[in-house]
Amino acid sequence: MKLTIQHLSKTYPNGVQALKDVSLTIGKGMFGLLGQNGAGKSTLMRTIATLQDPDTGEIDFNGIDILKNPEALRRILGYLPQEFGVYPNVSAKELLLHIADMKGITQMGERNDQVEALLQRVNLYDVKDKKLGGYSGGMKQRFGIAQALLAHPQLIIVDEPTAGLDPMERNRFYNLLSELGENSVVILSTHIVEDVSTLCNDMAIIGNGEVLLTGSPMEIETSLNGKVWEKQINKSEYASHLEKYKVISNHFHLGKMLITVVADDMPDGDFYKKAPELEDAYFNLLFDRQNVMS
Amino acid sequence: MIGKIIIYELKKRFTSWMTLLFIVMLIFQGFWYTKGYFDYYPNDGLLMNATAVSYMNLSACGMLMIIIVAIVTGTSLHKDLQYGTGQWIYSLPVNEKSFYVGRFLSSFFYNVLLALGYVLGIALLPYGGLAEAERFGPIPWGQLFQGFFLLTVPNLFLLTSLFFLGLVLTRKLAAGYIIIFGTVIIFLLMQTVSEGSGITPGLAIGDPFGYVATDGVTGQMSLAERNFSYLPIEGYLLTNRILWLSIALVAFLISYFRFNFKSFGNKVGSQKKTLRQVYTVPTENLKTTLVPHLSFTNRDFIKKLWSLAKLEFRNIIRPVSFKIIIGVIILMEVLQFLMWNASFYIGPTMPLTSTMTLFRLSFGVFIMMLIIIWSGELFFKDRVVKISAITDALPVPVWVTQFSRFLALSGMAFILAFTFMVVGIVVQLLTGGASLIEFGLFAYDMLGYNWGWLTYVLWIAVVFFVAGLTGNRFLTHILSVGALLFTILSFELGLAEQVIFAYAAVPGLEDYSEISEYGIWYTSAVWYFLMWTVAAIAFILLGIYFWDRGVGKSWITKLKFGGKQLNFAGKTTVVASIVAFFVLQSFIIKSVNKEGNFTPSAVLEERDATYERDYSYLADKAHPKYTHIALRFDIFPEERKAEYVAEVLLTNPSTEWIDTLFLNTKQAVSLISVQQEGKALALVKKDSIQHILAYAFDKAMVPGDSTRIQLKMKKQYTGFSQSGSEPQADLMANGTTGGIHEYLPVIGYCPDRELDENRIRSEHGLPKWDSRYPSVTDKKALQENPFAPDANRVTATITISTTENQIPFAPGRLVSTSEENGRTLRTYAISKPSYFNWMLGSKQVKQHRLAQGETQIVVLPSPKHPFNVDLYSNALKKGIHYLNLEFEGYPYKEVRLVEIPYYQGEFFAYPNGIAISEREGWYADTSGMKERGYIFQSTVTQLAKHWVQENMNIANVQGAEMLTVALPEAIGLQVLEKEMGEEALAQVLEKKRDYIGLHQANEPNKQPPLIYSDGADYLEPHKGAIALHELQKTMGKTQFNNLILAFIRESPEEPKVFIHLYQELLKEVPVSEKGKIKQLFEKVGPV
Repeated sequence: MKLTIQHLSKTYPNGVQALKDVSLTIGKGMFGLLGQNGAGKSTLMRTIATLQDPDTGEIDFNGIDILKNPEALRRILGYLPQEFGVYPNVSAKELLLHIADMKGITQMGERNDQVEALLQRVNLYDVKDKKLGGYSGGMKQRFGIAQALLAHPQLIIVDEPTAGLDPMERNRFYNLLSELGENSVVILSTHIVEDVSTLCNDMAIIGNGEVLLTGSPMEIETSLNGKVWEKQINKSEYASHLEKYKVISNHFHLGKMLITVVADDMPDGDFYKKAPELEDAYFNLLFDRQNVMS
Repeated sequence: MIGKIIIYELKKRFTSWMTLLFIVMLIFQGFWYTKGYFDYYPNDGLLMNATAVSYMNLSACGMLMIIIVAIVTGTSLHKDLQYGTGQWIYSLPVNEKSFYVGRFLSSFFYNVLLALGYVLGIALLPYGGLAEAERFGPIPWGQLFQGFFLLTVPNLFLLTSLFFLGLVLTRKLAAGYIIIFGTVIIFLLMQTVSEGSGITPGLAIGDPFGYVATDGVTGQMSLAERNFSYLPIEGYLLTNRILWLSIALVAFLISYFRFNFKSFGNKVGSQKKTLRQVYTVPTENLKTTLVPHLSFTNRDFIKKLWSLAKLEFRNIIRPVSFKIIIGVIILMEVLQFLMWNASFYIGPTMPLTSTMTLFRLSFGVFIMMLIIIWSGELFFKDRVVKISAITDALPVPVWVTQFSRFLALSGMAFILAFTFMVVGIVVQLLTGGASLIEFGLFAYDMLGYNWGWLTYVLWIAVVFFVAGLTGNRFLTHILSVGALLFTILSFELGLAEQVIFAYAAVPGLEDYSEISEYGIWYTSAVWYFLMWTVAAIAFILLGIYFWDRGVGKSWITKLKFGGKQLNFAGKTTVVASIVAFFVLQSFIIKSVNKEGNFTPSAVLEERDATYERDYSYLADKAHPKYTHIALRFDIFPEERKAEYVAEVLLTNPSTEWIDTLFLNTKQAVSLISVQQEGKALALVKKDSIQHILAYAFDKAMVPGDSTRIQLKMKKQYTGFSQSGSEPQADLMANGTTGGIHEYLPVIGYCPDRELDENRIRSEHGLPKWDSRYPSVTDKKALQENPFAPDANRVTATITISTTENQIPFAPGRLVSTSEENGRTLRTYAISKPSYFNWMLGSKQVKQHRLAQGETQIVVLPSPKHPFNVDLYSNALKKGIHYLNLEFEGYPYKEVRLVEIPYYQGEFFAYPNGIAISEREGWYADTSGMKERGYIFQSTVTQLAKHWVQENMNIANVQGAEMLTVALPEAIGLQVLEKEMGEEALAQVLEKKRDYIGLHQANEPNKQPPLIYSDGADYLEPHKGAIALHELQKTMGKTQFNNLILAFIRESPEEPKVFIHLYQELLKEVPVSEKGKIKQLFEKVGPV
């Protein structure tokens, strides 16, 4: 089970080049696609989900040429778009049954079983007969997850899936996804680094339409072993540290600013070594990328 | 604050290209409507940019402006709901009432500024190249702005206020749309009723746009006033403006007080209570249930198509809004049936099915617009609610999802059409028309392609196509509604004539005759519908092909033949449908145009102008005249054919020798042979375009000579016709009626073919006429009669045969009735020479026989119309009795009254015969005195025409119709007063005055004084009749009648001229009344 993307490029009519010669190979399991807003993640997701044609390139899933035969892919696809709506006057169960029918589950009994089970899994069972117009943002998101998982898809694409979910629901979704990843190719597009590091066994970082880095989260994390340093500073010192060091990120802790610096050696005595995280590798990459561009 | 909001909103809107588009559209509307109204008023002296025309335009607002207003008005307030921006904008430190006023005024000002495009279009008309420079006066800026501020601006204020009221009360744009539609429906109802039955105070005041009141004021204006004057702000117009401005203000104030940020500010849907959940631990193991069996066979897709269609259908008809809309339409339908009742000239009618099905036409545009908008909304439903990102990625072909919506919409349209039908049936039952219900007609009109359900389906296919092509919901609405309105208005304004250019329309849809039904248009309609159906198939398939799945595709990608949304069979069907469309179109063009069943009016006018230019020399030549005719006329109704042989006695009444026989034939007539005394005549000229044949006599006819000519002829229509102006009722399957010259040729020059509107004459380079009749001093015309150019008085024997189930009728005394080979034969004889204004035909009729003294009366109504036979019978008896008493005897011992289709004309009186249109009373509701009086007077008038025709030789000069029409009308009024009293007389006179008010404004040339009247519908039968009645009142009935008898007795052989009769009558008018009478007859003015 493998998804192969080769030399995919897309330029919008307004001149924005959303994808630049993107090539990726994604195997069974969870694959994280990490990138900033506007990096081209959604364009790539839509293209894989047969909703957008690239200018050039090829996509193949298990021998299916997606661009030539989108219909075949749709039969095994589960797709949760970044933004979606629902019919407000229809209940969740009604709409899921309808989507299940569209996904090829022709037996009514089977359709019902599928829908009921998924409603349980996304914790919507008790409100399954309520109209979707009354659902909160998180409930709608869970509905979206349920519809994507209908009909046992072999390829699951989830674009920013945890947006609007509370921590408990987020965990529940992670569990569900990792369970599905055992038998399917799951592409998780997100800008939340933690989602990828928690779930994915493989990943790519995308920026300005290009694949910047691929590998397993572990490999990417360990590439910075012994090079990540952290220091607590006053806010007023930030500018001078920016000039002196490669500050890849900053954040506040108990009202104090903490900066993260990448360096082969300890920059000064006030720094302490930090075990590298995926987020550090991601910020480091973005830092390097920004420097190259400027 | 208010100023800042207005400036911001206007600035934003005026930097959008849509604003530019709207202004261009309104400039176009200014051109278009002005041209249309100008054509509507055919008067030769009317300027194209006459102020009256501008006032009418500015009050009506126009379809495009109303659509634009509907589109743009609510958005300034609603956008905060739509985009959820209200959640933060309404938390800004702004006063909510100021905010509301600012948004309201910005919408209103935007509408007003856009409407200036309309004014600009009207003002720029002279530079549009639509007509020659002399057709335009100086640009009437003052009058234009008076109309703009008096009519357009208040109308825009009304529409804006009502829209905002609906929006504030419901928080939904749909409410605003419905209110705008409702207002326009009221306007159209008032306007249509005023066109049918005259302008009443209720209509003038009740019309929300002031159009009817403006029409009333401009209708009373002289030509000069129409061209240049300002609109007087008084009377009903003033009342109307005050009333509707007050309503607008009240609407604004209600919305002003109701608007507040708290109730209006939340995002749509957020007012509903959001569901709360308790967290529960999942118990189901996903793995055990998530391996379903999937199936994607074609059978599955077809099942999905059906189930989806059902789902979508339920989704359309479930919401309360659908039920409200359908309820409003039903209410309008019931109101129309009960209040309006399709009044023709006569007044209200019996509850007939044909009047019930008229609803589909009177409200057709709005129902269709509603369906189009509904369709657009459904096709884009997934995108509107943003679920398309999910549904587009589902493994279902586009044809399943989109076509299911097409089916659902077709189902919804069926529900609408079926509901209208059921309501019509119920109303018919409730109003006592149970026995008159025609289920077949209901089904044909309401559910078929005669602007019924199938027409709706054809338009849904257009929306389907446009939606696929544009991929844009807004553009789909604009283009689809625009296409509909453009089609309808092009025909309404006469910019297009051929039904082949009106998508989904079929011929004759407005031309139902209670007698002849849809006649030839049944056949035409089938072919047109077939043509539109194949077009719709192509539209549907192309709609599927072009539909963007996911992100919109570029045009180049869309147009690639290799697109996958349609398989090879689908693509082949598209090509086949397009080919079939053009094949059917060619067939229709052949059947309609090439067979001569339709000629565009411009071509026809040019042909007639050419006829006049090329053949008017014939008018100065001597021609023989019909003197006696022995006609054998065999009608084959089903074949729309008549074969006939006429043995004609021709006489040369002139002082010149005649060596050539010129014959003018009608379309579809074949002259098989022409023989003189048994010997074929030589054809010396044939003009197939003008239908003229010339034969050389073997021996020239000397003055006073007579000769016998045998004409063997055939008339047969082939193909089919395409519009209401060609019913071809002179050869029709279910009943034939025609004037004698529909069958027999006109000898010599045919003046009836001359163009009689000066504007059109000058457009074709012909000299303008001072009068439609020759002058009273024209010596040649003084020797002719107004009934036929090629005969004075003629005798005849006419034998007509027809199918067994029809009865032949003709002028003259019935001589014999027989059957021959399963056909009915009747022979009629005209022994006393009579004017050559004959009607003949064959029909299915009921026969009602009665007698008045020595005169046998036969009334021949359609079997469907027994309602008022007694009224007609009574009128005939009383009329004959009166003529016997007061006018020395009714001239015939036998008279037949036959009901004819409305498109044949209103009234005909010919030897022993009367023909009255079905719409002139046969199925009128005669519970009112007005209708009974009208039937009585109009029937007696026909008897009086007989009396005039048989007792008076009438010269073919100005005033001729004062003798042939106005005088019989005046006699009819005498009998009416005697038999039914003064109230009935007063009501019929009022009806005549209404008619004058409604129609004299349409005088295409120059209205003459009555002594020089020249034949116009509003003139002799109405104005002339009233004037003669007034004249009679000055001297008393007896003296008036005696003077008429004396006028006839004096030199009876000499052709009579009305002005001479008038002079004789005037002598007896008391001096005190003379001025008034002279004013009536010698000047142009009100009666």
